[in-house]
Amino acid sequence: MSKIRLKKLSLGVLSVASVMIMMSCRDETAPSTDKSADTSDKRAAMEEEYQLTQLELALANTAKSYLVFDMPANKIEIRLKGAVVWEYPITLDDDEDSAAISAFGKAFYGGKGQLLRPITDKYLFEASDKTSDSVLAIIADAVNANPSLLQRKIPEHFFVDWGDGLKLYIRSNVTGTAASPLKNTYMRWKDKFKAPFGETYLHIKLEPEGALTLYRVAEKGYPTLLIPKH
Amino acid sequence: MRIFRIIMAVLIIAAIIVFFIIDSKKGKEEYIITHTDTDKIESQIPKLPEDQKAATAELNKAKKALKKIKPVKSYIVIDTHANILSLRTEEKVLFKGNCSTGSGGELVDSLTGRKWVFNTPKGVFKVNSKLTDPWWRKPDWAFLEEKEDIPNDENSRYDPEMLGEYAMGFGNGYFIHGTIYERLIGVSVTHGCVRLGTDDLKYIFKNINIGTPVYIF
Repeated sequence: MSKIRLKKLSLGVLSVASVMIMMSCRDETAPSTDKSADTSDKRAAMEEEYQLTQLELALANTAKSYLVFDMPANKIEIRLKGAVVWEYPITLDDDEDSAAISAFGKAFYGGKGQLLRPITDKYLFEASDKTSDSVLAIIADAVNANPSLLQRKIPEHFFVDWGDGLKLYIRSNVTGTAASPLKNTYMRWKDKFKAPFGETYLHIKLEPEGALTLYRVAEKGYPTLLIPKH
Repeated sequence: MRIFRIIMAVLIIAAIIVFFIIDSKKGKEEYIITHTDTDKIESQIPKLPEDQKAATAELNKAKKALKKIKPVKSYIVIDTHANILSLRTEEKVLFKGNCSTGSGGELVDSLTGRKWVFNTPKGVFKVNSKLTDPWWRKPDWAFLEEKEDIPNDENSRYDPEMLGEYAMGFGNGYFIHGTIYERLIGVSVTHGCVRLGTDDLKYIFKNINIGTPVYIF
């Protein structure tokens, strides 16, 4: 065996050995990185579950109802003292993209992992009177009540706003009339104008009676809890 | 002419920009104001202990506390917004029907200054009585509303028809009961009680017990 051949062979053995050593080192370190990542993920999930439970406890200890987006169950609920008192599946409006639900959840959660937000605004585009004015006038006269207190507006289309460009548009299958066509046009154009600049809109459908309740409870400051889907 | 058009276009664009700037600032002010309460709630949440065992115990304690608040069996829900009464468990709705709740109207006795607001109370209550063929003892406001004198004779206050076949009390003189005005079910016309149609009233009466929680929102 020539000296050069021997040199080449030893170099080959050395390089194979060094690669094997490197591989074994990598194998040893890899599980420990995964383990620490897994532990920190578990800890983060635990902290979030704790925060969510504490937030709901705080809300449940008041006598007022609150809204809940249960993303894993794909439901929107109203709860009172922890009990579900109103619930609907999140059903997308006809033209809505299926990815919009998770985009809405992510936008609500934001960079800070926000689980609670208050409603900052709402706007009713079109609505229909539940009871006709003529019938209501007779009822109001019979029961000595103000007709405006007895009337219920069933929304055809409205939005609920949580600020930071986060809006939920709700449509029901009633045919309503616009309270202010001019303002409706302005509101629609405003949202179209803002849409490309980081706004997140989710368009859903609700039964008329569900829309009526949601519109009426959605007052400014009404707390909304997010159960995120990760 | 061309310069005039350009000036007009610039003015319109400037007006739109100013409008949007004012509008977005207005939104932010409201946002800050309404955020206060929820920020307060969030700031009051205790931190989870660093120690894993202690953290698990703390989480389980919080979960247990929340579970304790929630109803175990079936409960009545009254939606005063849509005038709907339902009987349900956490998982499913067992019954749903139209009802009538408080009108929100006010009545003032001009002689004494006494004032009544006809709202259905909101919150969580419990059924504390179940009555068959209940008689209504007309309160003072019922006579004032009809522009009648308040009677001195107690017997003149009783009405055997008005409440229907059953009544279920949930505190402070409020009842879920029937009505002789079935056509008004679904409209907020009551003085605070909750009215149901005959068949729905019968179903609810047969399927609840004293102690059944009543959630009103």
